[in-house]
Amino acid sequence: MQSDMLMNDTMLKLASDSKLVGILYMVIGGLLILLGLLIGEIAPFILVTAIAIVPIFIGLRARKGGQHIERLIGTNDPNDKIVAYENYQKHFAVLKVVLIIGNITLATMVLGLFEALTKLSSMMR
Amino acid sequence: MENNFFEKSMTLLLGSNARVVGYLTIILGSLNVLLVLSIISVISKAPIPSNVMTLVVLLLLALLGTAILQIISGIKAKTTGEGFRDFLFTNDKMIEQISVGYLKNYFTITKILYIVNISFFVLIIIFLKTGLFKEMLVINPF
Repeated sequence: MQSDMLMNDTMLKLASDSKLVGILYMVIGGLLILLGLLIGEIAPFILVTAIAIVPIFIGLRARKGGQHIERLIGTNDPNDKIVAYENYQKHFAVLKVVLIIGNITLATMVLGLFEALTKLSSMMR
Repeated sequence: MENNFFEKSMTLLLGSNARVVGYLTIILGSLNVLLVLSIISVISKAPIPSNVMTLVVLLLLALLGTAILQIISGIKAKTTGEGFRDFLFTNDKMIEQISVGYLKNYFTITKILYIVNISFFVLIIIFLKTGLFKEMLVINPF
């Protein structure tokens, strides 16, 4: 009984947090589209909009997961738990791809900066 | 029976994806820390005006803060994945409860991280639109 109450409390917090994270991801997607609009040219706008779809999708999955967890607390239907897990799993799957691309880009940037640093220090000698 | 199989496969996928996301987020956070350190090394050797340096250092500190938060959220995602994997092996409801708790912690830290990121994003857009960056550079260049 006490364990169930604790589980419900944790799930309620998980639902609210994941819904908020979902909305924040969607806001990031929206801000990216706004940035594309601020640039004022059609080619970068299309590119940025294509990129912005990804965080919107990730956010939608987190939000749906949260909604199903909320429904699970109310109805106690095991199907809601499966659908919530499916949504979180898809959220993590897309995030995984984004993180792989992000890691490669950032590693290239760090290597470039290290190269610039070595060139700068050799020029100073 | 079929429902149980579907639940187990979903839990397995959730666990493995969360674990990979955890490792990748830890790597991303560490790379961000490295990036900040290398930028500091580059700009400390370059002749930069003091007011520009203050702005750059503030931005770098913010980036360092978000990098540390990223590493923490990565650790939480990794623990979530490991928890769900353990639940599959043991079928213990208590372990599932603990894993859901870890997932909640992951989303809480991610929430803070994204609120900070969005605030900086909006600040930078406002600075760019109002030309505040230019003013800061023009008022006292040296």
